[in-house]
Amino acid sequence: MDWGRIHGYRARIGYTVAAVTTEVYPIDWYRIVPDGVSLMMITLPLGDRSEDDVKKCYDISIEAAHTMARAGADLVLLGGLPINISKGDDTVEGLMARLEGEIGVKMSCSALAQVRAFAALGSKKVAVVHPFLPDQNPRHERTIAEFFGLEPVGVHAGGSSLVRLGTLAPECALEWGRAAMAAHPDADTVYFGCPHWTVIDAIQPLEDEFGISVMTSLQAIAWDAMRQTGVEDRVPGFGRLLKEF
Amino acid sequence: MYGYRARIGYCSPPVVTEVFVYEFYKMAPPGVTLLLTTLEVGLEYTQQAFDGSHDRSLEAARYMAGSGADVVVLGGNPVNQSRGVENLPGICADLAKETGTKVVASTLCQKEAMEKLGVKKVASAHASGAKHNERHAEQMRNMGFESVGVTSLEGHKLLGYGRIPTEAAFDIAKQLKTDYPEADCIHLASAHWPTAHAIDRIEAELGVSVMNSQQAIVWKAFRSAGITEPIEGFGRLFREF
Repeated sequence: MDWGRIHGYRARIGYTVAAVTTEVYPIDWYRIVPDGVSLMMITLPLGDRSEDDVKKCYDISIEAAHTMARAGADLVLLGGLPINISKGDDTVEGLMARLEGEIGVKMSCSALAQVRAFAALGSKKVAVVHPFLPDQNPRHERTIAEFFGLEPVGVHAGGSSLVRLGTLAPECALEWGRAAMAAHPDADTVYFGCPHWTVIDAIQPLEDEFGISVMTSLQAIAWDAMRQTGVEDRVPGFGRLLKEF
Repeated sequence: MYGYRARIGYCSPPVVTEVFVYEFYKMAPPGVTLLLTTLEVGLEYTQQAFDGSHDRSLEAARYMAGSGADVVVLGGNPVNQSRGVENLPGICADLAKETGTKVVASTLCQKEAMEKLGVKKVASAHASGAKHNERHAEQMRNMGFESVGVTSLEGHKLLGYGRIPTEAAFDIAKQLKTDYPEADCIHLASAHWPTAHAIDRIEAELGVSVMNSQQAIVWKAFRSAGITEPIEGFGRLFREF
């Protein structure tokens, strides 16, 4: 313990959690970030992902950015890619700029963090792995193509649900990543959507096994938050993104 | 899964939560995880914020139970006490019956912790400003203990608790023991400023028991979830009970 410091003595990152309850996210956050980078959270009432739900969470996110700024965050990062882009793919950067002007604190969001991460990794052909039912596959393919401007080569659905995310074993991500690569060997990147399930231990093994890049929502968010706040530490063990960029 | 030993649900009153999570994982053994939902207490302690937080904590508790939490904590001593201390056992029992999951409340965790520690005269420190001293004294009396004195750090709204430096907890405890030498317990109130690291040092150097809100909540949650081993580094409460 460094007496005389605050816990977030290097950077305090405000993050809106696109879930009623968060469990895995803070665990993996603190496994990735160096000492002195703390996480401030506001949870959002995202339930069944209905249009009303997403709209409500969008509005609360905006208010949360102001609250986080008052609480002293060095950066506010709005979580939940579907929420970030719910008013249109072309509105995200404008919203961040407007909010920065209003609150006087740097802004980012899950969607922009992932745009930057894909760009850093040089990704072109993306296989998506997500933990939900296959009915979410078209949404993921559309987001990869239309928002990120990359080629979706396929989607693997884990078949779980929001309330069960905390019960998924760490092996699931590795197995599902392997399944995605077996089905879509032309992928240069495996992308794990949703930062609320246990994924980070699959990143390095998949990169090593297939010679690809792996990008996960949480990894991209943590990386972007650190780099935006001047934390330039290269972090080993969780993929090229955190080690090389 | 990460929470292979126990998954603890915590309804966290501050609209922004930072320190609680950080300190939880300093205390938790491997295999014990935290499910967190933030509530509505922001800049001021108002009845409206307490009512809203209580209602949302019941919703969050149901959600956490549905997600498989082994125990759910209704956080916030002021939020809990706004329902009446005497009503809390019933609220917890009703919710436990409804959800099929154990439910505890911060106030009851702290009360039980002080009973275990055998304390009688409590000096409290908090961070919300001197105008809240009497409220803290009353809350202590409501829990059945004698409040011999209360002091506060100055200049910190609840939203700013993450800016409190780590030495503040020991410094204010030392001041309390000087001002109220009859105290046999230092109570560091609120689970959202950095205190966990200071507990052992306060007990060792000042010769008192320490009960802090975060420690008591986590201790009771662990014990309720079957995590019964002594845990070193966070005071007698975790080591002996």
